[in-house]
Amino acid sequence: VRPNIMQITLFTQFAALVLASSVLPGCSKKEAAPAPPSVSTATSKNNRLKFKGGERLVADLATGLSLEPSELCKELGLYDCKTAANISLGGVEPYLQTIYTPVGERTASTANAAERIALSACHLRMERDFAPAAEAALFAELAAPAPDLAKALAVSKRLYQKLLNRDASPEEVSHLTAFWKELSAEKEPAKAFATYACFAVATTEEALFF
Amino acid sequence: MKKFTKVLMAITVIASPAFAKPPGQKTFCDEYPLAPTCKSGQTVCATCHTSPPALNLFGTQVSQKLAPGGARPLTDEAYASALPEALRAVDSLDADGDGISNGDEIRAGSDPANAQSKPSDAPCTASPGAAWNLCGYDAAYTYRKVLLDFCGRSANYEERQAFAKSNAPKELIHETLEACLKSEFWQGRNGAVWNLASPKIRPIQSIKAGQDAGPVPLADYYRDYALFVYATTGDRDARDLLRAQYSIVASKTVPTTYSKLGLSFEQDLQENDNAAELAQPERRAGMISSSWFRVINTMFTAVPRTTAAQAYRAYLGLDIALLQGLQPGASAEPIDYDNKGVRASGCISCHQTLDPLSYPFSRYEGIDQDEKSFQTAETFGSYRKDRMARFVVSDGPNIVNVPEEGVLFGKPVKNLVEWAAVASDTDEFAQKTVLDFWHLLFGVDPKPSETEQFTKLWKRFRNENGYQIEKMLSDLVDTEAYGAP
Repeated sequence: VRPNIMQITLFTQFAALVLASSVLPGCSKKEAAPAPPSVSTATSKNNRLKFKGGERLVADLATGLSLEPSELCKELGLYDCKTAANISLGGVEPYLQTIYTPVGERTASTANAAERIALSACHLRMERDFAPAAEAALFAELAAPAPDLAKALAVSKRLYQKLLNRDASPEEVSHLTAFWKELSAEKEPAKAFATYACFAVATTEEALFF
Repeated sequence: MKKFTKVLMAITVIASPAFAKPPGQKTFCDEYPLAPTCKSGQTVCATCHTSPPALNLFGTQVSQKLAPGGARPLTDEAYASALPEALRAVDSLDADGDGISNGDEIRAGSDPANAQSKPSDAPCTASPGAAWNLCGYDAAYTYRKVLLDFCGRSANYEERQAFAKSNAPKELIHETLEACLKSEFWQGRNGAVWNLASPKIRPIQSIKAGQDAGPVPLADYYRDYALFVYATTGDRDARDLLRAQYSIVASKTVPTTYSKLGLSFEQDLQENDNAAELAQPERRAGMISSSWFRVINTMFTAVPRTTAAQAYRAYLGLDIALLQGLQPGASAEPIDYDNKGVRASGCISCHQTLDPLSYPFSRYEGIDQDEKSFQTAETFGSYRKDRMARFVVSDGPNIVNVPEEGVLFGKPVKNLVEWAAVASDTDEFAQKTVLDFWHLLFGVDPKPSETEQFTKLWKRFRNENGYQIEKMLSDLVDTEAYGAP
C-alpha cells in the first residue's frame, strides 16, 4: 500500500531522528529509543505519489546543497552514481538495454541508490563547509568554533528550507535538536550532526516523492 | 505454418476462454449506462482484467456467473447474450471485500476489484494542519508538481514563498508551465518527451546509422525521436506524427533545438547515406514510414504485419495481440497471399483486421535481401511500387497480388499516406496521444472516477486545442486529477 501524502508529511517529523540514529556509527545505545510519536493521518483524495527519480533527485540535492550535479556522488570515486544506478532510480536505457519505460514501482535497490547519493552529497557539503577558511554554504554555524544547541537549531531550520523548500515545523526542529543532544558524546559532534541531519532530511519521503 | 502465425495462433487459442471479447466492453456499458467508466460508451479492460487475459477479482466473479455449465470457449454471440445476466448476478456481491457492492462501486466510479478504491461521494473532511487542501484542487500543490513534472526540479524556498503570496496563483502556474515546457528536461535530447517516444521507435544501438552509429548501421532513429519531440511541442499539430513528409533533426548542442532538414531528398541521400530518410517525401507518413520504423519492424517480410501492428499499437493504442481494435473487414480477408496459414480458425479473427491493415505498408522496403539493390542507397528502404515481385521465390506466386490498398477502421485506404491521414483523424489517435502524456505525468491509467476528465481532455485536444499537446497539458494541470493531492 503506497503511503499517502499526508502520511509522508507527518512521517518526516520523526524520520530524521530515526534514520540519523540508525546510520550514525558510535551512537549511544544506553538510552532507550524514544517512543515514536503518534502519527495522525489524513486521507489523500488521489493517493498517487511518484518517486522523483534520479534526475530530479540529483537536481534538487545539488541546488539544496550548492553543489554541482556531477560531483554529488561518485562510485569508486570515478563513476557518477546516478548513471550507475540509472534503472534503480527510475531511469530508462532504450538504446543498449531496450528499457523503454521506467520499471514501474521502485525496485529493491532504489532506496539504497537514493540514500547512497544523499549521504555522499551531504558528506561532501560537510567536508567543504568544515574545510579551513571555507566559505560555508550550509553549515556555517557548526563549522565555527564552539558549536552549540542554538547553532544546531539554526542549521536544522536551514536544512528544511534548502532540502524541502519550506520552514520546519516546531516538532521537526525539536527532533533534530534532540539528535544534536544525543551526539554530544561524539568526538566531532558538529560534523556528525551536519552530515546525518542533512542525510535524514534529504531522504524523507517528502524529499523523495511527489 | 510459419513461426509468426503459430505464435499469433497460440496467443489466440490460449487466451480465448478468458479474454475480453469484443462485445464485452459495450455490453457492460449497456448494463451500466451512467457509470463514469462508460462515458465513451465502452468501459476499459481494467474493469474486469488485471493484465488481459488475467481477470481481476470482479472479472473472476463475473466469469463464474457467465453461462455456467455452457461449452467453452463462448462465441461472441453467446458471450454478449450471457453477460448482462452475469453482471446482474454479481451486482450485489462485493468482489474486493471493501464493504461496498460491485454495483454501487461501478455506479459511483470506484473500482469494484480494488479494496482501496471506494466511492468518493462521502463529504471530504478537511484535515486540520494538513499542508494542502486534501478535498480537491490545491494550487500550491499543483505549482510544486508542475515544476517537478515539467522542469525536473522542485520549487525552491523563495519560489514557494512568492507563490503563497501571489494574488493570481493559477496564472502563475500557467506561466511556470509555459516556461518549463521549453526546458531541456522536458523537450531536450533524452528528455521527458524524447523518452516518451522510445516504446514507439524501439531503438537498437547496434544497428543504428549516423551519429552514434553501431557496428551494423542500417538506419538512424534520432530523426524519429526528433520528429516526435517536434510534433508534440510548441504550437505544432501532433497529427504530424503520422503525416509529416519532412525530416527533423536535433541539434547536437545543449539546449537542444529541432529544425527541418535543410537538404533535398537527393542531397540527404548523398550526404548521409543510410542515416538519411530514404522514402521519397511524397510517400512519407511521419513516424510510420521512416527508414528506422521499416527496418526494425518490416525487416525481411513481404507483408509487413509487424509494422502495421506496431503502428496500430503505438499511435492508436490498439494491440491486436490483446484482441484490441479488431474490425472484421471484407469477408474474403485475410487472403493469405504469402501462404502463412492466416485463414486457420485460430488466426482468422485477428488477421481479418491485421492483413488489410498491413497492405499499405507493403510497398516500403525494410531490409533489402537483394544484394544488388542492397548496395544501392536509392533503393534501400525506399518506396517501391513493384516491391512484391521479388518475394515470389520465398512467399509464392500469389504474393504479387498483395494490393497496396488496405482497410483501416472499416474504411478503404489507397496507400500508407492515406492510412496515416485517416488514422490521425480518429478518436483513437487523440485518446492514445493524450494517454501517453497522462501516463508520463501520473504513471497509471485514469481511474474510473477520472474518465470524465480524461474524455474532456482528448476531445478538447481534437477540437478546441487543434491537436496541440501544450494546450492539452495546460488543460490537464487544471484538472482535479492532477491538482488534488
